[in-house]
Amino acid sequence: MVLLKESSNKFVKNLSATKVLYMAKLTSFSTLIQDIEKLPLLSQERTVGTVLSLGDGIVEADGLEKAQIGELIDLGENQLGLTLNLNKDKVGVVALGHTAHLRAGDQVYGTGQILSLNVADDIIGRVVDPMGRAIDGKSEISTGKLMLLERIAPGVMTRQSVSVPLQTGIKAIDALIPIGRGQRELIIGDRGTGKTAIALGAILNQADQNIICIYVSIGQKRASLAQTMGTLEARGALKYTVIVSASASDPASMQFLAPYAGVAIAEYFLDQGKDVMVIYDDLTKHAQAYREISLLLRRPSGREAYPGDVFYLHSRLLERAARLNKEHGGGSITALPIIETQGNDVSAFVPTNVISITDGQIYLEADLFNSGMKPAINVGTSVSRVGSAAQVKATKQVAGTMKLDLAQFRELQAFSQFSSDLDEKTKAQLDRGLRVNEVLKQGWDAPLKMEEQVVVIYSAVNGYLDKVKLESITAWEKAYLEFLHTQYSTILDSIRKESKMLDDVITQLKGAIVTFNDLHEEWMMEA
Amino acid sequence: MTTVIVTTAIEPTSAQIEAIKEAVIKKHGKDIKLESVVDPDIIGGIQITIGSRQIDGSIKGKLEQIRKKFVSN
Repeated sequence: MVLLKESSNKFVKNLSATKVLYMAKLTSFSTLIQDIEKLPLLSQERTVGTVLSLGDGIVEADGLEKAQIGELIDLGENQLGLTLNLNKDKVGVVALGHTAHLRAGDQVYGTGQILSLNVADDIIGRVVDPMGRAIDGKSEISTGKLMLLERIAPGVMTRQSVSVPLQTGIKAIDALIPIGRGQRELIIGDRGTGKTAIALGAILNQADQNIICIYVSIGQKRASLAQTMGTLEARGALKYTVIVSASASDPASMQFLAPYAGVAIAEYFLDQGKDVMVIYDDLTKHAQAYREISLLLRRPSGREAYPGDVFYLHSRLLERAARLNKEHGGGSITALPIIETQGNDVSAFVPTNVISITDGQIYLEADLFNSGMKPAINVGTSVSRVGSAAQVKATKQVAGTMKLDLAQFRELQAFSQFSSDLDEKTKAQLDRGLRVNEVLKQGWDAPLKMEEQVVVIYSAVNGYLDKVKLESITAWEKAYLEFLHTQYSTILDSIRKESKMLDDVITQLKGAIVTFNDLHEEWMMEA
Repeated sequence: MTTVIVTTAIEPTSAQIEAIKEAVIKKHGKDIKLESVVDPDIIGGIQITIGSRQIDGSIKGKLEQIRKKFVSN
């Protein structure tokens, strides 16, 4: 009897500690009692297993006969685990939280539930963990739909090809490596080359593009995430963004699940026919988290100690990016995975895998970054395999030959380092190339609208910048755009509405640039 | 042979054991081995574990159900 009293006292203490919030909502203690009395407390049947061993977040249990792959296991104390290995006599469970309370011989229970998370419309603007729980200290996400973390990618008959552009607001990308909605474009580069900055810039530019952004942060420092969140909030971009976070201090299992949680949230909106952009920052850490789990589960390891299914790990994730046809809602998921390389080595295991899965890559290089080229995109090696079909006509008009021009320029530049006297034509080509290159520089937090990009690139590739001093080009561009906005806004309106440059608009623009250049003698080179 | 573990908070009487055994045999056939375990942790009631299936009718399990109700909402 004493025992009974003691344990029930302990229980009530526990109850009140965990549910302080709930208690505060109650009008009185008696309503709580009434609530409890209303509960149907029946004997329940469940699958039970006994812990054989545990360590490093891995629990091995026998029993659990009916367990399925990807089933949630109740580890007690509100902690859940996920079945990853099913053997005849035991089950390998990876803990999704702490396991400090568990001992060998303890009982764990099957839940019969396949891993899924709750998504509702009000998840937009929030920060959640891979289980869909709010971690930004605000209210809980309201009950919506349960989305499976592992879902089969849309089939062939439900898809259509990429045809609508996704404007990143970054000149170098929109003009030379265009991305379409539903595409998978890899951002790859060494640490500190501005990979995250490009992704964040792309989010900032979606303010009026009717795209929901999902930023999946995998294994990052909590401090960087706080900074990212602060930036998005300050720029008003959190209104259409969801952040899924499994930080460096979360268990490897959570980091492994984060991208799948991100795409599951995206699929919730895809099912409503909406356009979504998902950023996985970054998949290198994701592969490392999976390697950790696999090694602890004693799965055979292969190249770089990664398990055999590391390709499938990423292919099944990125295949879920899609552009659906009209009959299936017409929504899209665009995936921008990020891969961090070491010493520019793109032939390492994980980078080559993801390069071959995606529809193009944006290469960022430390050398370019250090020489002041920001964004440090190598436009020579970067490609977009499907995006050009979606590129806006106006951008195509001005950027058509730009990639070739830049390639020629780089060749000339390398060549001209050896000889001092160059003929006039070569010098002119070099000067043009330098200016076009200069125009591609852009602050990551200053995305430009399509029509703004078009008028700037137009003036560079058509020689209107040849007379402008190289160091003044940034100032020139800023003033030029301001000038057009105030005095020639019809040009910009026309390009935006028509999505192409009409002949009379080109004539008007030519006039406008000449007028503007005449106004600003201070930026011109002395003849 | 399936092992059936009967967990109670206090020592059951032999009449109770017999009654439980009869009930289990009715459902699962004669091929069973009954084990009785006393575990004060379950506070009261009874837990019957057949292989990896557990039928939980303990007070502890019911309190747990109450807790879950409030934690999840």
